[in-house]
Parts: sequence; C-alpha cells; structure tokens
Amino acid sequence: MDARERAEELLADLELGWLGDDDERTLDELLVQTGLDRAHFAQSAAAVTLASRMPLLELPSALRSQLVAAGQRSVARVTSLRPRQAWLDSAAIGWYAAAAMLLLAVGAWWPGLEGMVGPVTPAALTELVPPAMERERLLASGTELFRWEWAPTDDPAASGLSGDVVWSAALQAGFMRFQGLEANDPAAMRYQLWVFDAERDERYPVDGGVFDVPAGASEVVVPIRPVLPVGEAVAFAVSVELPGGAVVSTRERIVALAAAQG
Amino acid sequence: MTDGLMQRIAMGDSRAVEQVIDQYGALVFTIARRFTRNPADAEDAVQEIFTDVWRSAHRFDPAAGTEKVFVTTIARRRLIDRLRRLPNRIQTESSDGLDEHGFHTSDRAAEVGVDAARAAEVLATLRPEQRRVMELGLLHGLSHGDIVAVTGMPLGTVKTFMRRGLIEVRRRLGVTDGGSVD
Repeated sequence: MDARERAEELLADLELGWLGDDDERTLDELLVQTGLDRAHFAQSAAAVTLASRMPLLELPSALRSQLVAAGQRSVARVTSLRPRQAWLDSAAIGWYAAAAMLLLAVGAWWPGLEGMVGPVTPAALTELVPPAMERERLLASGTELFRWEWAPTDDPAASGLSGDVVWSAALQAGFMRFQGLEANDPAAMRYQLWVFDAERDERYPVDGGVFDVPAGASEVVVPIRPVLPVGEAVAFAVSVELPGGAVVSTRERIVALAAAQG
Repeated sequence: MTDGLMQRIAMGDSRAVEQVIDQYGALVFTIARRFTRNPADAEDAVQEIFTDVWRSAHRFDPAAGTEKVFVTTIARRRLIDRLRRLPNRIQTESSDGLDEHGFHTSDRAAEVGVDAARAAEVLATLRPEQRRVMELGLLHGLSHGDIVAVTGMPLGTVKTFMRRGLIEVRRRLGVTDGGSVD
C-alpha cells in the first residue's frame, strides 16, 4: 500500500470515527507527504448519507423552538463579533493589500503566527484576530456584561493563578483571561471550560470548549464557545481532561472556578 | 427556494434561521438519531450541530457543493466527534435493530439532490456486501469491529470496501484534490 492509499484508508477511518490517536499522528504525516487534506472524503460521506432511503423523522416541535431561539441569538452574536467582515466585504478596492499589511503587523508581535502567513482570505483574516483584541472590543461595545474573578483551587497547575471571566448572556459569548495557569502539553492533557447554567441540571454543565496554555505565555485570553445555549450562567469551572476533551467531566481535577456572588 | 440561506446567515439575517431549520432540521434530526443512543442524546447533538452551522455559515462555498451537503457534512463531523468521546461506543454484535433501508436508486435520489443521485449511481454498481459495509459504517455509525461482528467479514475487507467505495463516490462527484468540484 503506497502513501496515498494509506492516507485514503485513514481518511476513510476519519469519516467513520475509526481513527485512533496513533493513527491521527500517522495521518498528519501522510497528509504532508501526499498533499491531501482532511476533508478528502467529507463530501462523499455526506452524499452517501443523503442517498440513503431512511425515512425522515419529524423534528420535535419543542426542539425546533429551542433551535430557532438559540439560532437567532447565535447569528446576532456571530455578526456582532465579526464587524470587520462587513467592512471587508464592502471595501473591495485595496482589500488584499490591507489584509496583507494587517497580517504582517499582527505576525510581528504575535509569535504564534510565525510561519503562518500564506494566502489571505476573509475567513482566515477574521480568525487571526487575537482573542485579547476581541475581548477588548467586547468590553468597549457597551453590551451588558458579567465579569467574575477566577478563584484558584489547590491543584498544582493553578498555583499563582489569577484572571477573570467576561460573559455576555445576550451574545452568548465571552472570554477567559488567565495569568499564572500552568502551561500544558496538548498531547498529554488539555484544559476544558464548563459553564454552569441555572436553567440546567447542575450535574451537566455546558461544555465551553477545550484550550491550551502555551509555555512562556504571561497571559492567555481564550474565547468562550459553549456548545449549547446558556440561559443563566452562574459559575464557570476549568477542568483538566484527556487530549480529546470530555462530554461529561469527571471533575477529578478542577483548577479554577469563577462564580456569581450572592 | 433555499439558495443563499448560508450567505444570509453569515450576513446576520436572523429571519433565515427558521428557514434553515425548516429546510434541514428533519434531516439533521434523522441523521442524529442514527448516531445516538436515545432521543435525548439526539436532541443535544442537533443543538450542537446547528450551533456549528451558524458559526460556519460564512465558510459555505456554493462552488464546492450544495447547502444540503454542507449541513450534512457538519452534522456527520459533530456526531463522529461525539461518538469518539463516548467511553464505550455503541457496541453491536448482531444486525438486530439495524434497519436495512438501503439506498435510493439514482432517479429517486435525484429528488434529494445531485450529489445524492451521483452517490446512488456508484452504490448501485457495488456488490451487496460492500453496500452493506458502507451502510453500517456511514449511516449507522458502527465501529469497524462491530461491522466485522455483524457481517463476519475480515477487518481488512471491511476497510478496503469502505475506502474503495468512498474513492468511487468521490470520483463520481468530481471532487479534485484541492477540494473543488470539476
């Protein structure tokens, strides 16, 4: 089996959820070697799914209502957090020059961007805005915000930890800021945010996403991206999880908590 | 008329939200039920999927496929991620409970969309046992071990059937290595 065949076998495994952690590393190497990309079979798998004769189920009406409400909040949030996009879309003349200059300027002071400057697209540029800048933009937006300080636990990763959480219920978005949180090796463990919602069972906080703390960073700002709508956030917790994250935290290692007072 | 829904979502048109849900909600819910253990899991998964759809709408490229394929791709990715995070993936040793709906003929699949019709054309040319492998993996979310247990085929055959089947569908869809469609 040559490199392309092996890569395609692993890419098929990827579409089926059959890929193990070791296979992930092999696949990454093969993708570099073959020039294939991870979405190689995505469209094919979707087309096969759509060719199925399985009868469509009716969407439960309560679920539909939740989806509409959450969708309308989310669409408003996405747009408000991407004001740059509208400006870029309307400024066709000189866009590429402006984008290239901005990338170079950001790359000059953001070490993580070294070597990443390549073809510029509107989507890529939007994603390269540093979270710290987005956080400042949110703070200056006049949106009603909740802001809580992190309280470190006894976990060794949190010794010397400080920082805060900024959260907008209306936008369903926010940012965590950390100083002194221990750097992690993403291959060994990752940090994961959990959002406790007064409108949900407290045993099942909403997954706020996984994140990493790079070595040598004096401050880290992480966007909060809950996978489900949060009705009334009452606390945020950061746990230590295995590299893939967790659906339900074991809460064996909680490193930081931020809770509403009173 | 559904063309342009993703562009409208990306531009912040909240009126398009209901249209997207009416257009694709049943499809996403149906796929989610196949990949989850119970209706509650499926409902959570559907909420995750649509959260991803709103966030990803600006990435939709009409030149690379239809909105239906775009939404289905997001749904599959989310559901696969959920499956991988389960401590014990659904385990099946028999085909009991695995409805065998099979695939449309290409003319019936054309009602669903051009991509489905092209996939159906390819699937119709495959041997029944290869079609079954693709159905169990892609529609029911079974692990390769489960497919081996259900079909009695060797693991190598299961993987080869899947890889070759996807290659044929990809070729028929005209997807190039850059990801665009010829």
